[in-house]
Amino acid sequence: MEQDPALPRNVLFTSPLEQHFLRFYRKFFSIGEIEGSTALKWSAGAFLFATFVSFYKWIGEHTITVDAYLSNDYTCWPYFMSCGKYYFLHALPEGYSQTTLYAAFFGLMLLIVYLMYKNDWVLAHMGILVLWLWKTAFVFLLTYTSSGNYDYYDIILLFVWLFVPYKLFFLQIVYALLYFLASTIKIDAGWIAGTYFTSLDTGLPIFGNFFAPIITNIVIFIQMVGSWFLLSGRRILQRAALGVFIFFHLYSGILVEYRYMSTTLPILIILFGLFYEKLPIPKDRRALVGWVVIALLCMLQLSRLLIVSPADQRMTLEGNRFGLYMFEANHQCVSHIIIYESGKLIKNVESQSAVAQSRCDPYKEWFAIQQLCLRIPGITSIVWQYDHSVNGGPFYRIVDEHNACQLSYTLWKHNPWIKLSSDKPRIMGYPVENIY
Amino acid sequence: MDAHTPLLILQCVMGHEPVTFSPLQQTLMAHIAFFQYVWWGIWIATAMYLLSKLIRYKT
Repeated sequence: MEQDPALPRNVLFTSPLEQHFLRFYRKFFSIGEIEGSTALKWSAGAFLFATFVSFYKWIGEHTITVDAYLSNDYTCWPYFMSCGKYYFLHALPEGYSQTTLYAAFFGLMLLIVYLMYKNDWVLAHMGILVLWLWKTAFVFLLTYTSSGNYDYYDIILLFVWLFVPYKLFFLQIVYALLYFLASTIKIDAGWIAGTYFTSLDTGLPIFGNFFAPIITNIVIFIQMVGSWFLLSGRRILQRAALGVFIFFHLYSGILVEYRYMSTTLPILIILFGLFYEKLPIPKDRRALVGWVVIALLCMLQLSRLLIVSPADQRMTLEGNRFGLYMFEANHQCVSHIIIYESGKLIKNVESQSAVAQSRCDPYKEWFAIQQLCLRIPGITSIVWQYDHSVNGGPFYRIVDEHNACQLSYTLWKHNPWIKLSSDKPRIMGYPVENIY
Repeated sequence: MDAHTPLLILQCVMGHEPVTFSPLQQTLMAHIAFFQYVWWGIWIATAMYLLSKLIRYKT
């Protein structure tokens, strides 16, 4: 395969130095594994499809544009709070640069498909690496919003495909692990009592609210325990688990529409359906990268427990995005800010959450307030009140500050200005049923 | 619900029905800590089982 003179890379890059680099690249990223595995080749197609679906959404968004920065309509991660200063794109109608970039990415995707067709997996790998780098930078550097857990899935699974030796084995195990880790965020009243869904005006789809607590506990069980049967060597158990998860994703599509399904279902069917084979567990030095990735994923998922107790975590959302957070709670919130300039009230703003899935993250609000403090000349203080209801519970006033400009946000420990249940925050009201 | 505390109706919501919980849900929520311990117990037991299988696995 490597010496095939018809491969595009052997036609385009003929000098000894280029050939030496291509051989090194192929070995370093274990691309021989992809060339020898139908499942890994099909996985590339699935990842390409998921990348296309994300970019299809991002091409028209203003999330990381110069205009978003200028209008203070952006949020950076707590570890890179100056991200807005690096925005360089203009989306339509302000400019063409963002659509130009994504048109180029589309061209790259077409080229990758051609390279896959020609069986040149070294150049195809390089192309997919470029897409992965942009996606990772977008999700983990350039914006705190506008991404979801499906993007985490894409980034993590594609990381394994790109960089990790024993690719197929670790793709299988990491995929099952993501279910297992996702089950930890369901160990809460929203899922144990099913209040996430019964707090919705439309209730739990198909099964109805009466069965909600039973269905939600079954989901916790299949994610926590059932996911590992996807790796079973016993055909009946393995196929049963596959069937359950295919149904689970189709069912969840009733709420989350196509986005999550397009990430999970193709790769699920490729890894555990069409091309499933039980693989031996690798334990040599080359496998170390994969095991380290698994250990890191577990540590990141559980890290939020060190910041704030599980009982308070849904309310403060501190550390929420360090791991998976899909459907962690049904949120409703009201944020009220009053801006004072030279001691005089100049603006009184109230904002509300839109839907259950919109995380009421005090950090996001705090970030916007800090930008106001920096940008409005002569500002003396901003009064900030933040009321948050979780899974149909009371609205608690979890932030009640006279000058939010003086607040700072800490990443790895609890921020004392966000009230915990032990601080006995005031109940401001009770919610009505909301929508997803 | 405290009779003096108002319903908070956000602009986006469709209906104005207050959130209510079924008797089963109220029971589950009253003992939520117990059920959380049970699920965390199952999670840890599963992790330990998988880890022990991995350690004992001979290539």
